Amino acid sequence: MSKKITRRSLLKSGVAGSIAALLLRSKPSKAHQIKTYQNSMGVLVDLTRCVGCRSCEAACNAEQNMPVPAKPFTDQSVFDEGVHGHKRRTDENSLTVVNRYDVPGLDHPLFRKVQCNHCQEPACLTSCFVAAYTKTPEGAVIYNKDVCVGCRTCMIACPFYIPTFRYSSAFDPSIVKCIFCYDTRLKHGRPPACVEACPQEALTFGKRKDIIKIGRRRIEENKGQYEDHIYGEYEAGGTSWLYLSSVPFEKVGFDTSISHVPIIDHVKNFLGIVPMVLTIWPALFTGFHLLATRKERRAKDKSTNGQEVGK
Amino acid sequence: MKRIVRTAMMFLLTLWLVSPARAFTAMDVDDAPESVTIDYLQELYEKVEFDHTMHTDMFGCNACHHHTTGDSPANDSCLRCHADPEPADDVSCSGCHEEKQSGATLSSDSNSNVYHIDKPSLKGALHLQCVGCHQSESGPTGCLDCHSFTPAGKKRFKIRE
Repeated sequence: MSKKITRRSLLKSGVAGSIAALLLRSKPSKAHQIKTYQNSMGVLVDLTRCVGCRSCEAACNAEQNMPVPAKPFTDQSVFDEGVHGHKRRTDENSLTVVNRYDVPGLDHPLFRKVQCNHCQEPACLTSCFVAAYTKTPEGAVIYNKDVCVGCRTCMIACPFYIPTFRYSSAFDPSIVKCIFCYDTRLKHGRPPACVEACPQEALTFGKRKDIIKIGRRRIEENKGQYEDHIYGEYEAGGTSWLYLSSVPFEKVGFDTSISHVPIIDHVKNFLGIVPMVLTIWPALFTGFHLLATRKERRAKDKSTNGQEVGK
Repeated sequence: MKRIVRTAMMFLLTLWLVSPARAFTAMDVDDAPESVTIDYLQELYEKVEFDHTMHTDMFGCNACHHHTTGDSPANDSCLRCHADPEPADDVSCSGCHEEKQSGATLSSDSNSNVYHIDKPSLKGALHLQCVGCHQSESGPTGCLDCHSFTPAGKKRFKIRE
């Protein structure tokens, strides 16, 4: 053994490692500047207007050539399908669903449309290591099936549980999510199919900055009729789809615990440590191991040497 | 010569406009049509025959027409500017509410003091007005209570025969 690891040298390297760890640790995250597109589009969803007619679901199904559902879109019994308080979710056959909420103290139910919110700093996009997602200048978060490897990290990253996976097809698996009708409509400046189909104008399409103004005005002009908050203006760093509600948002299925910084900011610190852990920990723990087993090895060496002498 | 005529006409018009004798009179409900055919959106649904008389028997003109029939508006927001309204030339819904949503074309520097910044499209206006009132007055609120599907509508909503 040419180089012995002594207690001293081990402690030395341990201290050095700790100092390095402290120095190399990534800076505490500040809410970073989100790169936003000035003229990106959005949709304002006014829950006080929605009557649960499911015209948006039907329009989406037709526009995106989705399979025919088991029940027609006129069937309101789907609102009672959820078990144990769970509501319907987007799946590989439906990019948008409407859910009913019977809010205590309210004489009429409220309806909430669910689809991709098209975040300004999408967690699906930042979590994707093959860059299958793109945030377009128009505001849509689109997905490229050709580069996707099917890891489904985006499904875990999304704070709104939107991307779904086509498990049913072994030969054509892919992530399925709302793309803001990007290919067929948004790219050409037209509103998505669901917005055009809504009879109640519960969905208002426009530039994100404009629909925020409209939302603020509705809150101001109709005192007491709206919660003084536009959901999505800041949530998860801001979303392109924004919501107005007459009741607290958590009562109609919104996650109000989502912080106002992009999801990536929550994991940046951790991800910064990963390379350091990978380089320092192996050396450190190998050292511990060698130190802990030193006596044993020495005893073994001695006994081997003794045998040799005895021969 | 042309100029003199024009000036004279302008003068007479101004005189008429400022004359105290001129008072706006609200439109007479008897002049209103008995029935209105709503037929602008016929892709998925058949046209709707709206029984105008039945509704005017129950509600004032301003319940639906805001300020355009010359009645003082029922809505406080309209009242701010249209407290003493003049009957409009066109009182039909489509006279003000365009077929396309205005949201998409709203420019950021438009006057934000104007209430009409949030004017719904024709389809939105009709439904918000009708359904809103039908909810509070216990009228029919189901889609098919007023509408019947065209074949395209049945196809869109995946209704099996």
